[in-house]
Amino acid sequence: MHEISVPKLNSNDASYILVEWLAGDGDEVAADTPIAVVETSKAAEELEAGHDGVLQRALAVNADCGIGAVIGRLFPTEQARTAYIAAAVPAPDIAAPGPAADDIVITKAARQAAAELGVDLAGLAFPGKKVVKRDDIEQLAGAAAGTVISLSAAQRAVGQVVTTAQQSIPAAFAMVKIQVDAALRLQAGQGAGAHCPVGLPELLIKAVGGLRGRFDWFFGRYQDNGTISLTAGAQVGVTLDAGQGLYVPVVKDADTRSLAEIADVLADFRISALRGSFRESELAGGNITISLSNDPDIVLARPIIFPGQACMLCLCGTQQELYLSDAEQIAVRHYANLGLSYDHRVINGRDAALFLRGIKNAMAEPGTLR
Amino acid sequence: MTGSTVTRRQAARELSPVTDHDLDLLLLIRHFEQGILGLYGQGKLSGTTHTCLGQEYIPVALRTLLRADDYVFSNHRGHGHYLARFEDPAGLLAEIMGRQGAVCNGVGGSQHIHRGRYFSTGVQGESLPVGVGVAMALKQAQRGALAAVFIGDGTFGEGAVYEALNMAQLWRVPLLVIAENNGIAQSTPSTANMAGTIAGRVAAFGVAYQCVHSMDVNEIRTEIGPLVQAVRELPRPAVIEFETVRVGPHSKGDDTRDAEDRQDVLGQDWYRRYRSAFAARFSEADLRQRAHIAEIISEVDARPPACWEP
Amino acid sequence: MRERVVANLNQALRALLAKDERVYLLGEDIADPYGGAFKVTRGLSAEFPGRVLSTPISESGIAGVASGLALCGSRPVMEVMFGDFIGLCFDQIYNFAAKSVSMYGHKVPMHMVIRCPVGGNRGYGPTHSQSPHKHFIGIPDLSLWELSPLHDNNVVLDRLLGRGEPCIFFEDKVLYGKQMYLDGRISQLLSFDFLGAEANYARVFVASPDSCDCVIIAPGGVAEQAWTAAAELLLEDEISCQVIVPSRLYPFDLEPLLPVLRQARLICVAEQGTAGGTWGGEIANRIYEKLWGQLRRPVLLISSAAAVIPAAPHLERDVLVQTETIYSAVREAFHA
Repeated sequence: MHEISVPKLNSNDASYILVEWLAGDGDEVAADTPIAVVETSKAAEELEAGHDGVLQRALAVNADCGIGAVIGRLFPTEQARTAYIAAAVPAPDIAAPGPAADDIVITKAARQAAAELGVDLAGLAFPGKKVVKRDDIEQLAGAAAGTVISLSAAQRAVGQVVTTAQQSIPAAFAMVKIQVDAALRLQAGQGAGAHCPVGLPELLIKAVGGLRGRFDWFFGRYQDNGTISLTAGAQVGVTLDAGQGLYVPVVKDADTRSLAEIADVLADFRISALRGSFRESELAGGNITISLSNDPDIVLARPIIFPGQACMLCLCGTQQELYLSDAEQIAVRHYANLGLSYDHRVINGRDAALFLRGIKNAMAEPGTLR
Repeated sequence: MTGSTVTRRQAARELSPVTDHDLDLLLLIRHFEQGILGLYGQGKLSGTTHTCLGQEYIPVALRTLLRADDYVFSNHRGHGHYLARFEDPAGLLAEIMGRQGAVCNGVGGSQHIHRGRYFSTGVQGESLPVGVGVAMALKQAQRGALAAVFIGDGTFGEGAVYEALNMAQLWRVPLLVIAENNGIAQSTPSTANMAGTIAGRVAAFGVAYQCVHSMDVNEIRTEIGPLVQAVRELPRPAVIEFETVRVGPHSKGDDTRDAEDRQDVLGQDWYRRYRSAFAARFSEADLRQRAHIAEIISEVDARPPACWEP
Repeated sequence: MRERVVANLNQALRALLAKDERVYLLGEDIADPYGGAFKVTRGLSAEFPGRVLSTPISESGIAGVASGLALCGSRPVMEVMFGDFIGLCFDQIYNFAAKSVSMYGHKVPMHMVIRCPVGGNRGYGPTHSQSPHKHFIGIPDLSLWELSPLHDNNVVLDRLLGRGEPCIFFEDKVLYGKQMYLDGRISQLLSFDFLGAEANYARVFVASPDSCDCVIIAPGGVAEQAWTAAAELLLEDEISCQVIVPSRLYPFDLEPLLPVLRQARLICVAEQGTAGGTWGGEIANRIYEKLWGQLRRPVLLISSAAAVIPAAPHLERDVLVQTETIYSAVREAFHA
């Protein structure tokens, strides 16, 4: 059996178009019989059979054929040809091809996920989708098992962190009430259209930064050999979750930067949290973290310390209370509970109390926080 | 032709009677050019300027052989070409001085003028192929009109000239090339620039050729009239070479010829010959044009600057 | 029935000649039966005798003749057989054709198109494979355009001839044998729509045009390499890209692209020209003017190497931009 392949016809084109068959399946042809017309960018060329034989066509009209592509086969006899057809995989449709069936395209990451999760891709339907990604497979794996909800990659990452923390850090907890009226007055005084509003979180970050000098081991990292390693400055992580996932971006150098700069940075972070678009550099390098749980219903929350840090603060919701003023009148004031989880290998209760009082005092006089 | 071997072909022949119109035009151009040099010397012109002193009679002679529907391509030494066609010294001066009423709003200056079917360009040789294209279009759509292109002897250094002559003859287009051969290209005499002759070059392409030595406006018209007509009618391209002299510098202050050569050249100046042939009429017209130009200069100089936005 | 790009071009030229008697075609060897080095003008001199002219080998002269035709109201389309030879035409384009539009202080219309087959990957060697676009950027009253398989040449060439200023139309030779895509669909994975006035920008996207990680601006022959790389980036790395294919390269109108560019995390410009003083550099500069504060990283410029283009195919492949060049560059940028 001889294969008829496309020769190189010019130096312009990498492929040509088969525009016409001059002979049909089962036709007996001689070596010099023209059997097909192929079009290049310059001209139409006739291709000859090249050998005597019985023709079986292998490519449809209007198909592209590269140099060397097999466009047909020549058999010594008709029986040989029919035997070949019977044995072969179903012959290609020689009629002009219609548009291809809509195959779904599956990414490499999706295939890997399918292998990991034991999802069988054959026969799966993804109605309305052209491209199947890893997330789609992960979702499907959850749905197929019935009551299983599959966790997103981000959630799984959070899970790993808190497990490590719980297992490796002996944590204690203390809490203070901080008065926030002065801070709220400061916030209200800025007006509704303030570009980078200063509120409790911003003041708290600045207050924490201001304690770096007196309480430097609160910003340290416990080492197994009984030492604490310190990095420079107050690199304060802040938890932000705007519905796109939990992020802990780091406000760098909160000890030396001004309140205005900190507010600016935090405003940018809030936008990134909404878009889910943080850069790696923004999420790295923290040496202390503040968890913001300032939903008003949350009165107490005990944060989980980041592995590699010595403590974590948690600011809970602002609450109202009645009190007796100096003039023995009943009045309203506002407070928030501020909790501190701390690594008891590094920090004792007395230190924790002093630290918290330092923050409480700073927050009561927010004018000193610049 | 070098400065020192200027041939004196017209030494003895008498000039035929010049019309008042032609005489006025010759002197208008002469005084305009001298006025330009004067203004330049007073520091009132920016850039540079190329005067056609000594060559004015050529466009004046051609004036009656060219039609309003002909295209004319001039070059950097084009004031005479413009004035012969449009008799508009004020518009041209305003253009050179960048004042309102400038024929091209002060953008083109002395070298880049456009008005109607008249164009001048600043790069030597560039307009010849353009002229071929224009002539091709005229042949197809406006039979009888021609494209006239003024060049100098120095222009024959540019390859574009040969490409154009080749195509003009191949396609038989009505292109009329007027080569004003004044024997010098900027500071270089033609013998240092040109191997062979203009005639030889033109013959190489089979293009029709004629050489004019006369300075007599009427005689010139008679001599070249039939060839110009042939360009229009057949049509076919042609090159007419004028052996002439550049009486002034290339632009301003850059005349590198020695004193003896410059004297020779001055002796060839049509101005002297016409002055002695037509004494009374000449002197009256001369004074009149001198005054006319002086008046135009002071009027244009007083105009506000030209306005233009890209 | 798919139409090849060369057939679409040929048909567009035919339509121009048929519609308007002022149209001329000029170029070396463009008359029948040869019909041009790349067969773009096949059949036209027979059909329109006297207006489709084969010329002597005089690139400068031909450019001048075309300018003369344009000057007196005709509409010439000039072919420079290999765009590399446009160097010979530079004075006529730069100092006459483009300048005539404005240098006389009032507008002089110059309706003319200069067609230039450009590009390599054919083994034609250093002086027959270049992309000379960058040398014409920033010339007043001269616009630059590129052949694309997504823009119908019947519309584009008509537009160019109607502009009243000289236009250079660059045609990547590898496109001649490829097919036109005129119904919004390239493959099962890749579709396209249009952005901007006169459908100047074709936008190729995978699945949906709503958003993407990366935008690649890629004209002409590089467009197919870019969308092939885009498909690979999605399948291999789940990076979604859109490919913007401009018809007009210069002056470049950035406004219609701003919404797409703003939401992307990476912007690339890909071209086959050699590195240094590129068209992409000009585009990046315009992008910085508008989007500096919103960009996460500099615009990624992908071009061929700063080298001559070798003739041997394996050497040529290493110098010229390939699909792989674009794929790797984008992938690296995301993993950086």
